[in-house]
Amino acid sequence: MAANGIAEMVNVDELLKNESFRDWVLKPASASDAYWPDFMARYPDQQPVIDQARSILLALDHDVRENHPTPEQYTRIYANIQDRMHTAPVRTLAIGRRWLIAATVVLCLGVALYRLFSGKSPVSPHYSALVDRVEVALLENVNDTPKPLKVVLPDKSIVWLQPESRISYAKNFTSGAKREVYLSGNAFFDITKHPDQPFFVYADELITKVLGTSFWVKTNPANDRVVVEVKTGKVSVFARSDSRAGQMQANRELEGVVLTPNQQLTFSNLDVRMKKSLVANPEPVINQEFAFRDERVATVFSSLEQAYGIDIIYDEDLLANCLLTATLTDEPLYEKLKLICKGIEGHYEIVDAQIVVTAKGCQE
Amino acid sequence: MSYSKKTEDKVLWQAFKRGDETAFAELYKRYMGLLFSYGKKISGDEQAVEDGIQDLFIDLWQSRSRLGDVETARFYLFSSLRRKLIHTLRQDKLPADNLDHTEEWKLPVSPAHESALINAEIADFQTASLQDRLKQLPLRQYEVLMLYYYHGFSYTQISDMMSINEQSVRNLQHRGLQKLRQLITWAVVSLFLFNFL
Repeated sequence: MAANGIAEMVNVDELLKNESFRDWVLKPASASDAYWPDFMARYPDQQPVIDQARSILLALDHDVRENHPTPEQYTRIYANIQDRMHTAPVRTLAIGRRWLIAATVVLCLGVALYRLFSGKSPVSPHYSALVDRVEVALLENVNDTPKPLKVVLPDKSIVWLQPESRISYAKNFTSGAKREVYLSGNAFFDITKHPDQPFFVYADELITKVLGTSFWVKTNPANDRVVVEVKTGKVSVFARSDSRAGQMQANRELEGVVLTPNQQLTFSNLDVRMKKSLVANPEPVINQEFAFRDERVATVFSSLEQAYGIDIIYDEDLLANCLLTATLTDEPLYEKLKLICKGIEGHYEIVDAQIVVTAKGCQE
Repeated sequence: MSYSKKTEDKVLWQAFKRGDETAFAELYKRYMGLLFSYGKKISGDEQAVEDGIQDLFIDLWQSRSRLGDVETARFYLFSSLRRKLIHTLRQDKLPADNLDHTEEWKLPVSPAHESALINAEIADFQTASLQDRLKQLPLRQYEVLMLYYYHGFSYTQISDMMSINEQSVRNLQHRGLQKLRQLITWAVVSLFLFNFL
């Protein structure tokens, strides 16, 4: 600032813009000279203006400092950045708080495969067609080894890519955009939870949508079907050919066929039909021991329903008087059901994705 | 090569573009705190700010070879973070539209507090801290004041960052400063005493 300009400098705006003034207020330690104290001594009538400017700067400064990150945030964010600086994203996992909430889902997709290259990872023509259509640059991981390959996606989701499989995905899942991956072969996904950024697996003719979850995707060259198996959590599945596919993708809700724990979906490429049923061996969502002593069957069924996340259908009135004493632990679900049915002289069958129990009922 | 606080941004930027991690780390060190603080004002969602800053620096590193010689690193960083956060806000359907299209969107103020301010009781002003008064400013006025006076951006840069024309920036700055001056007039004397005696 020119010395002869001093006298005219009467307004707060100009003071605030003046770099030496800002330094003097904000970095008193490094302010080299006594310029501003001198200035104030020489122009006492400027004092109110200087005070105003000064307090504005100090208030802004205070506000900035108040909102500074904690040392922990400062370090953690840089660690996350470093983590991604040197990788194509196959790295160990640094989980943020937000990602710890991920649910667990097992989803198996058996997709018809066409072996284009014998000995090498076969590539589904669907896969190639899908990948070709993508406009952003994709990273591809191919597993030619006999062991599962761990792939960490840009959002820290984990994919266990099975032998003879490949997966493509964008280098960055830009915030706000969809997370989309293209699969040929088998993979287990452990998807970090981002409710606003649904995760999509494109495999063959099926689109699988999850909000944050983990699941298997398996493709089987021998059959012409897609099988989706859910362990815990929720996924929605719809056909790429579905006229509402675009809408269902965009929607925040899970639409299409929604699968809950222990349900599976079979998709046939031949007649484009989806069939919902139960997985071969349902796993409890909640591990617990079932010990019943003269317990009403309704209660027994409802605890099984809760533990496995499966609906059990039966005639409540008919079975109202049936009591059961049993201790059920490690048996598979279907074994448990068999035992229960033996007790009430009935039988069960799996209809759609539900268990239907039929029995004659018990006398008072 | 090592860098000190005195190293110019321009030097750091060029070194970082060549793949110098130390320079990159120094840029982070220099701007992380300011960006975080600014981001929190824009977004209010701390997690979104963390994510935004993380993405920002990762993008920066990954695209370093394609980056030009930016006018100032500071401007590049602030405007990129702002873009990211506004984008996220839009996705979340938070009042981002207000943020971008309404001049006078206010930070949440309780009605009681507001009317107290309108009544402008001297006692109220004297007890409330200046920081509280800052928070009475409409967000966009506040943002312009912060960018202009504290971070030292030009009208042109701010108009770029906020996607509004320069005249609007000037208006916001002018009105913001007016308002702030009104608000602090009452407190100046006591603040002055506190600072100087």
